Amino acid sequence: MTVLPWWAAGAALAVTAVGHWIVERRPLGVSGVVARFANVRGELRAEREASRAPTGAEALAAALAEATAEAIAGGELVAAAPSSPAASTAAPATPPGRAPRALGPPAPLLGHAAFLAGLAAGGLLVRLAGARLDAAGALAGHAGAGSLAVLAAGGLLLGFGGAWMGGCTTGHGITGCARLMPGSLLATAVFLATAALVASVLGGARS
Amino acid sequence: MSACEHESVCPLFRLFTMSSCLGIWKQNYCDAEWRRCERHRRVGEGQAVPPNLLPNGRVLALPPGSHRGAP
Repeated sequence: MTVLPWWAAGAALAVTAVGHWIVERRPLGVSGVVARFANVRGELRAEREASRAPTGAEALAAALAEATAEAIAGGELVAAAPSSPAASTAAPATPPGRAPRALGPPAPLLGHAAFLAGLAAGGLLVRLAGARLDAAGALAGHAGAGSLAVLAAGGLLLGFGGAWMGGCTTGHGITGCARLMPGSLLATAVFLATAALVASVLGGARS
Repeated sequence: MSACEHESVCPLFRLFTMSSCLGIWKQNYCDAEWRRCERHRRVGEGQAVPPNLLPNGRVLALPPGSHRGAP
């Protein structure tokens, strides 16, 4: 039994990707969500720091002034030279009428945990509904004791590649390509070419 | 050199533009060397960015009397 026809799966992916952008103001990317949990202690620390941020305009101004003075004293901040008349009439860095492509802040860690839980729950629901995925075909030749090791190694390589390329087949392949981002187009081409090459090499080795 | 693309949403950038004393942060990071900005780096990597994290990576000290956060 096929889970979903291709056109319905594509539409569902599109709704998910666009909905994610509308809700979170960030492109959808699964590897980025997973990567947050690889550094869960740092993420939790950042959220704690955010919750302890100075409140009140006066307290914030005082803390900022103190930090500024320390950064200047430490040589981290250097006062710029007075700008020349020519520089003051130079064109602004951002062309008028073009909105900057700013990203929203990442969702709370709990929200991304819910996202990952939803991924797992979706697969479980589909399975409970009686659908059968073709996992056996995908793992053909790797059945038995070695299958878990192959899966683990594949997952490790997937994570390494996703972190190295700044995104996975979701972030680059679905969201980035849809936005015609050159880096995502190149990354997706590399993903697919590598997958085809590895599949052909492994297929040849098995036959 | 282009300015940081996150200027419109960065809460610290607004503060840096409101005070001439704090404008030095804007000169040193937002207008030119935003690739060095710790906030920019974390946003690019999808990490959480505390509102009190300064561009140089230092976490803004808390008001006296309250619990102090990580340096």
